[in-house]
Amino acid sequence: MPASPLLDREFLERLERLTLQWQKSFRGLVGGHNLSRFAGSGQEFLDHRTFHHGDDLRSVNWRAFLRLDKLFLKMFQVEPRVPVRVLLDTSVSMTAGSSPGTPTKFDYVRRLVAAMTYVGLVKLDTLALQPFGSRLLDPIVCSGGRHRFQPAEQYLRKLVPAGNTNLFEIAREYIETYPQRGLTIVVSDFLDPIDAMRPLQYLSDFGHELMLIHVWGDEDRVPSGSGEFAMFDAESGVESKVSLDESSRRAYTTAFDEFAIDLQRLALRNGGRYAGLQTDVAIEDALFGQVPLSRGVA
Amino acid sequence: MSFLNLSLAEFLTLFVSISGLITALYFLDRVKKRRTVSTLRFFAPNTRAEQKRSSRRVREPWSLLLQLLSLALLLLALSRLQWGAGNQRIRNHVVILDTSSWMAQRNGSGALQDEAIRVAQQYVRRLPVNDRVLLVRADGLSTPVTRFTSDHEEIVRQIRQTKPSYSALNLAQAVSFAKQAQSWPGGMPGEIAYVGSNRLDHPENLSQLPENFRVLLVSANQEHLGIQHVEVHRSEQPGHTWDASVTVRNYGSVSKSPIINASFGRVHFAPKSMVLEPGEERSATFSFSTGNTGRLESLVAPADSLSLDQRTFVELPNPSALRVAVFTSRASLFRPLLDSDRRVAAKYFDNVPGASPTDADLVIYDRMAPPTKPDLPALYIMPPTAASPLPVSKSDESAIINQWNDVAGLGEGLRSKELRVSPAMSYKTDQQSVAVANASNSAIVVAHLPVAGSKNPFVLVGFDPLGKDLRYQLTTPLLFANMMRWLSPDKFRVASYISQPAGVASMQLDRTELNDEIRVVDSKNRKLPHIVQGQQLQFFVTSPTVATVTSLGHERTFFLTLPEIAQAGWTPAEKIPRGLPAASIANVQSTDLWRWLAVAAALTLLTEWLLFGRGGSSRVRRSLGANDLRPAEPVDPAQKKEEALTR
Repeated sequence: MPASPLLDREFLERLERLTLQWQKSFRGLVGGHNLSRFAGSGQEFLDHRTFHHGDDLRSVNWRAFLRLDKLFLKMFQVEPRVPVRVLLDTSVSMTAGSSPGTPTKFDYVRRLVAAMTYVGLVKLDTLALQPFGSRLLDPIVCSGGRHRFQPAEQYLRKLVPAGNTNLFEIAREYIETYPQRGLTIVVSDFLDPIDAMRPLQYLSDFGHELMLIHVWGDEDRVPSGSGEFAMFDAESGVESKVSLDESSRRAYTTAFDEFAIDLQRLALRNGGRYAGLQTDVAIEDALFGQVPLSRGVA
Repeated sequence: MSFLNLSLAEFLTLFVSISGLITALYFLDRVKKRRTVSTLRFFAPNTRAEQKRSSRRVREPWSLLLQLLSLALLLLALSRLQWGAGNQRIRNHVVILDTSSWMAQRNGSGALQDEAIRVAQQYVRRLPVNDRVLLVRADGLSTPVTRFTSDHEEIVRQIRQTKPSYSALNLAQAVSFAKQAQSWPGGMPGEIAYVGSNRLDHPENLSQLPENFRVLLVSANQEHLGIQHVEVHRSEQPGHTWDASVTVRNYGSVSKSPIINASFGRVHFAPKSMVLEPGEERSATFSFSTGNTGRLESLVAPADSLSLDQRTFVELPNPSALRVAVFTSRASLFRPLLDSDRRVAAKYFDNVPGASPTDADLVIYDRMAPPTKPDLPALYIMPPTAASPLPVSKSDESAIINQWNDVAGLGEGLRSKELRVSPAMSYKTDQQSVAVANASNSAIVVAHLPVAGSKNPFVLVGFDPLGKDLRYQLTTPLLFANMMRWLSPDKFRVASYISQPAGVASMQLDRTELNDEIRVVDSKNRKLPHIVQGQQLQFFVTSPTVATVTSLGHERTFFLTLPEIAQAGWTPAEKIPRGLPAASIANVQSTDLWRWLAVAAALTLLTEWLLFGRGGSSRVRRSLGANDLRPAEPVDPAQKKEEALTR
């Protein structure tokens, strides 16, 4: 567990300006601060409609009646309380891929998720932090305002990377565990050896709004060095002999970029969002730059 | 097929050890540059050849095999693999060629040395062509002429250039050297072949000859008579008389009656005859008078086949006298003292001149003194106080000499006790002065040593040795003799002239010389190293030369021109092979393969580098089972985007 806090006070104060946003409207949910196109018992005026027999007289707009001699009812927006869940990758692959001197993906993701949690707490949102490795781990639900940030921060600090990435299993388990649709923020490197796209598509098909925050290390995208290497997969332990030179390095980077484009395409195609972050991008720059650009926060 | 430089065991040992090292380095090299990555999916392997981490098999066996093959070829090239010559292995032979003085013996139309050269050449030509030979010339010392070489023609050339020396054969030392040479690495030991006569020194040291020893003796005439030693010195007789002693030895096995002839210049002395038994040596003496310089020659008749030591000579110098200038008013008292010695030529003068006399070697001032110190050794007898070379400490009417100091021989033989002299003067001594005689602790006779670079020692006598008290005392002539000898030692040394063999020269020192400084120099006045053990002095010369041994009272000149003749004969044991060996049946020229092997090793290494190095052909490597993961073909991002849009 890192000795120092994940986020300093000054940064937290800056985070108070941000708000988590989602685009979808989810039926059957009440509360929260995001606008909904459904009418309900909210605070914000939505529209008028003709009075029908049986309507609540307290909702009649009497001013309009005095003026028009007709009975009209006010309609208000429903502010649904959207469940926000953060799926953060704690598999072993999150410890590799960063060059010495730069933070690992795991540490980076923890700080990022901590920041997003604080943003949610400030706006009185409820967030569930759901770490996963080869399966879903014990989550924590954060709600009740900024003064409830400390337990979440400690929870994140205690996380330990373990397990191999298996998004199929994670998606299945997630859908079973969380039948209620909501905003699902997946913070991961998405390096599933089998397939990352279809599990995410399943989540989207189920109705979850996906926000994919793709995190990678500098070595994940552009491997350094030249010559013969014995490469070991961090999760499976499989060893392969690789010969690195400039042309092979370019080919590798191209393949990685294609993968990132595919992720982005999947998110956008399903009405979600995508943000790609390299670990050498400061958290501050990420939250005030990349992530707002993807309309994940505002 | 055979190895020239390494044996099979040595080759295998080297190959196994270096191969092990290469294999260890191979594995070490293959595991370096390990890296843990998040995923391998973006490295698109052409073949799925991923392995488990725990396996550490040889991944490119052909690479390792090629490296080991090139190592084997290189080692074979270094070991000089020979193709041919059957199963015969290369051997190292040593030829010891006798070059002692005995080999100068005439034998028919030539010398024994020529016959030995012919036999040695025949022996070398009978050896297998690939065998290696080392040539050693043996006399008093053993000298290797070549290294071990299979170039037999070079050996034959060196044998042809051999000449006899002046020392006797030390065969035991030569055999010991040969055994040591054959133990040097590379090849099997062959034969040690000795070619020469059977005359040598210390045959008793040859009791343990090696089994591979062969003897090729040349027939030598064992009968010989030669001069062993000649010594000439001045006779005790008056005049310029010399005594010469010529020592002759019979080296043969029958008695002989030689005649010894001697001559000086054109004067032939009466020959002397003698009878010598086998191994005996006897001397003949000659006395003659001459005041000239010249050469005394000695000759033994009849001459035999070895003439080197049957004639010798000694050069005698011109015995010049010591020129003494005596400044005295009492010449009549000095004449008996000085004229009695033939080594002294004295002239008498009444007055002291202003300058030093130029035609004298020594000057005596009797109660006189020159205004300046002379540039000659000088003897002062009671000089005036004002002109004394040393300050006068006191003057007495009389004094008693109670102590004589034997300083550098000045007090030698002087034993007079309580010798009264009158008058007497004592002198103050300085650092260069020593007191020869003391009277009441005052120096009454002082010798002033020459300062470095100066030629003018002097002796100061503070009493009158020719006064009526001492005129007839033994002390006076003894004192004069000691003083003149000290002042001019060259003229008074006992000189000897000796002719003897070169090599180790030894002589007996006189007891009086033991405390003297001994100098041994050659004809060019270069110092020769020497040792003194007891009264025996020894020094060594390797070739004929003239050496001089000088002490305070003696001078010996050695004419080391006689050869050192071995005094013993040696009969080899019956079991020792003799004569030339049978001609080698395996005289087949073998082919040296080292060049081809070296080229093959280089080509193998090049092949390995081309196949498995950085520039290796990937296709060839794959076909040989190499694990080659290369990223997939680069993708044009623009093309991918266009495809995505059209989908």
